[in-house]
Amino acid sequence: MGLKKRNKVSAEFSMSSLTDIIFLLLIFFMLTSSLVSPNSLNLKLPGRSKPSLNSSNPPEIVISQYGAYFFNGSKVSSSNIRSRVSDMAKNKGSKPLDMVVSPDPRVANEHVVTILDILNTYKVNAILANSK
Amino acid sequence: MLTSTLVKIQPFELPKADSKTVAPTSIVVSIDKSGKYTLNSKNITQSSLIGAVSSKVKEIGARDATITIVAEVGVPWKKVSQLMTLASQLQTRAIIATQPPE
Repeated sequence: MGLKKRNKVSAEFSMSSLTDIIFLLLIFFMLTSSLVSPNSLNLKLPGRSKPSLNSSNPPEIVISQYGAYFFNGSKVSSSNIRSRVSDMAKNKGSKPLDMVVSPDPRVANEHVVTILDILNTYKVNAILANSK
Repeated sequence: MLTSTLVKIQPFELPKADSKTVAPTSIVVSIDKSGKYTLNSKNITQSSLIGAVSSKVKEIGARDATITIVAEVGVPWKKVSQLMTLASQLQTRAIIATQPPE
């Protein structure tokens, strides 16, 4: 019975090349997704969080139409505001600090975001005054 | 793969901030410099925006929904504050998309 044995096909295959590619894809998409989704600034809106005024007369930051900042009436630069707010945050004690931000409706939004970001960093409650 | 296709942020210049919160992308309203609105990457007129956003928020539920405001640098604050007012009327959250400073 000279039947020829059929050549056995090897049932093994190399797993390592597959894992290589899977890992590369995983790392690639992890990097790209974190690059694409932007960061953001959380807003406290009156509908959700309870607005609580702690001080009766909070300091006011006015932003003019052309992006000039006024802190309690005097014109200041944004870095100046940062140092003032950090000073106030240091000396505030246990009570949370409030600050009124009144931007001109025509001002470019990045100026307002700059101020809100500064207040956010020092955990100051920003109260937006809406001028119509 | 899933996350990267879900992200619907348009690549234009955003206000810079140090904030590290990651923007959720369920309801993304973007405003570009010329005043065009998009809702989740679809063009929409200003008049139909309020209705569309309200129905989206109801779909998700006001507790869990977050309106992500993607405003290009130079967009007047008034347009952003209108959306914030809308979000507070709908009793939901709003978030302003920013990019980290260089």
